[in-house]
Amino acid sequence: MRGASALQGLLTELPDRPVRVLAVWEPVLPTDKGPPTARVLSRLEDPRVEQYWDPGRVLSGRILAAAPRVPAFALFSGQLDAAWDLAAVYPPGVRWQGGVPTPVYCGNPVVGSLDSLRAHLAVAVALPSGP
Amino acid sequence: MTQRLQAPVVVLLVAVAAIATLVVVRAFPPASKRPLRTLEAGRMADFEARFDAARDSTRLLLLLSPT
Repeated sequence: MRGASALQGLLTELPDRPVRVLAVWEPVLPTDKGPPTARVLSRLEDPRVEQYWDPGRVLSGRILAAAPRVPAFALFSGQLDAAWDLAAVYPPGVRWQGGVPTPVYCGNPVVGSLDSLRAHLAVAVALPSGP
Repeated sequence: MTQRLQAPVVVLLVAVAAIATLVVVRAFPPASKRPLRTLEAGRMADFEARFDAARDSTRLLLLLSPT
């Protein structure tokens, strides 16, 4: 949950960057009895954020399945049954084809990855529009 | 004697009401401002489409625990 607040702080630092955040909440800890409360959701107040509740950890499962072929996800390979507290960065142009796309960076935990995330988001440049 | 007691009681009631209002507002922001979509296996295609729709921007996938 601290990761959400930290990420919001990062977005506040970069108000004009073309960034879209897909925030997926999933039950991992014994205290995760249900979806995030409105108060928790309000930690990510930036309009560039879309929030999802993933009760079956579907996306987490996809990331674990991709871990053997995606080096950025390798830290989740093997012993864990859930990929969480992570932030994966995708540059403009990357499309979701087949499995989970390969990120240019994956930080875990989020709070400990802020400097790297800042560096990646700061160079975010939108692709030129087509003809 | 009664009138002298009323003023502090009113002030106390107003303060309690203000604190209660603040607590409720902070705990329950307007739901419409915080839409939460459910992600399930059958809806992954929609999620992937949202990811692709923002391909002119840098995207960040976050996976978090609610607590």
